[in-house]
Amino acid sequence: MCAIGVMLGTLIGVLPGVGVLAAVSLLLPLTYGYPPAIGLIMLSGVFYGAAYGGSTTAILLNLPGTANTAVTCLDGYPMSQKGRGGVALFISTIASFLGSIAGAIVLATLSIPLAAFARSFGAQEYFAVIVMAIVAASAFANHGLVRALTMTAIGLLIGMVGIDLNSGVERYTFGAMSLYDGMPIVALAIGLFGLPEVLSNLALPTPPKAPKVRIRMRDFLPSRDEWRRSVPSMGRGMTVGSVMGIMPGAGSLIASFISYSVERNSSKTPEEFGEGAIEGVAGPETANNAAIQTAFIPTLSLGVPGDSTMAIVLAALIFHGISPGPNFPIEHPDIFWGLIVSFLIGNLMLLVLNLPMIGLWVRVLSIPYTVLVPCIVVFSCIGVYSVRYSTVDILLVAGFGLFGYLARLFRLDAPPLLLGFVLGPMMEENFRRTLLLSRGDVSAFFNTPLVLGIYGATILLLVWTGRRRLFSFAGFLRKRRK
Amino acid sequence: MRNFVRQHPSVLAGLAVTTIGVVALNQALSLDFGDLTRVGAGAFPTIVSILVLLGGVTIISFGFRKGEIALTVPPGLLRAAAGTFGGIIVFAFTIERLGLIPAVALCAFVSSIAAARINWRHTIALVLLLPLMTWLIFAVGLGLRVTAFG
Repeated sequence: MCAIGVMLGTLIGVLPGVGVLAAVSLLLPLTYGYPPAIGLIMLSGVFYGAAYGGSTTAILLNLPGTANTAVTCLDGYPMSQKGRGGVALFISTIASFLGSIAGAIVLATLSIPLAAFARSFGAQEYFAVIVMAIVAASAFANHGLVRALTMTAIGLLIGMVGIDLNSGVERYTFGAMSLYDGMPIVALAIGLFGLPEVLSNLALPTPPKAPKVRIRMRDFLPSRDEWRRSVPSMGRGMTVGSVMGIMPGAGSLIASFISYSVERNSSKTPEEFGEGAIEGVAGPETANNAAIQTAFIPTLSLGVPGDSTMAIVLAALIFHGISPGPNFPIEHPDIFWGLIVSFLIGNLMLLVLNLPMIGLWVRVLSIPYTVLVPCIVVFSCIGVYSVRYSTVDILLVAGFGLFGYLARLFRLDAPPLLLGFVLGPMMEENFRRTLLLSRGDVSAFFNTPLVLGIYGATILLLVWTGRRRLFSFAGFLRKRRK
Repeated sequence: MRNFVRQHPSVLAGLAVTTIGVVALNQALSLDFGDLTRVGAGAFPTIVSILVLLGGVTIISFGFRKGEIALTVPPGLLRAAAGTFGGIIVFAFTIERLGLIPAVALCAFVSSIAAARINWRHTIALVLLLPLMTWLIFAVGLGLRVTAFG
């Protein structure tokens, strides 16, 4: 199952312009038909496969599926142009694998102590952690804090759709019975991320087309010098990635950027960066994948996802009957460890399957849009329908698709909306509980040292990202797009 | 007017967000707000709606800042959107009435006109093959409870 997940994930991930979020949203319904363990293994395969697929297109075609792999383009693509694309792919696969393993070890080591610590959390601490996750995710968004926070708030509103569990009152259902259970996350995710990707590529005068790339097996093998240069970079990437992944909102994107600058600063030949330096592929790819793993730490041990991708993963876990939180590793050690093992299997599959199949992935890239679009539309429709057998859900996909595309056109970030949607019910519950337990005392939101610490960390994060904007890697990304 | 929107897209975006905020607030105010000791179903929606509203107004103000990036609408958007959304809507209305195979065939046909240049060979192949493929994957393989026809 994991192999199928990895292959499907890579298949969707290599499609130009389709990122991890879109791939996971499109394939999420497929995992629903299976028992939790198998479904999750498949999903983790999809997750890593999609992340890996993005790097392949970044290296071979200079098409970063998502911002996450934009860094890989910087030196991966020049390597391809010099005929070393095979080596870049090989190193990126090894780097991804090692990064994931390092991240998984950190995940296994830190989750249990963090969960034990989080068991002392009260409602106000949870509320503060959720505020931190929201602010952090918005601070790292593409189009500024205000737009991102507003989109998160819209997400919170969408999260309130349905019957309020405390009072039994229906909210924002507009009389539609099929919304009593709440807005379906699959429809929201496919609409917000899957369709706008398709539309943006389709609406271009000339949709992206893959040039012919041929890579033979022997092109993969790095020279001794390339090995010597890559290994220390991978080591540094592991550290950077593991630390950055734990921070809410930062995740793999920031990890890969920081790793790239670490590599350039520590290199004896910084002038080679941007011209095809192997360190520029090895470091960020390791960091990126280590961060993907450690991002699971807050998701699994607190039940609070740090970014929108983790929000989807959390929703998938909940659907499969697993509710992550401080008690999760202790009450369900089998599932907790099973999940970590499934991550390892997923990465191992990726390592075994992907290199031999690289030729196939390159060919997938050359599928014309006239074939691809109907396939994506049909699979999205059936996928959404299969979850609840509801035609309203299919229409919701169209609605959210339109909203998601317009939001993208008008520079409003969609990922924070999804995070708000997932965190909304949790946030409201802890908000109400804090007031209930303190008998209406508003100061309860700020009256423990831990809460003050969490808010303090949130403010520090805001100051730090504000400073980061001076370096403006958004501007840097824009330049690359040109 | 059109030109203004193009030059200041944040104004329109902000207006849309503000409208969402107003509609949400209007609904929230009809719910019980409760009090601080017993927070009602309307309290959190009211607070969040006001935040959305404020966000919308701030985004409108961004539209008047210097350096606002003009809106660029891709030329093929209307066709792409008609094909993609048309396909989804057709599927939604036919899956339960006609069954999986006709629904997929119709959906594939409508969404294949989304491309700038229609390749009829591809369209015909998709209309014939996709229904069969999806039937095998979803109904036979994954056990989706749908009928092939009717």
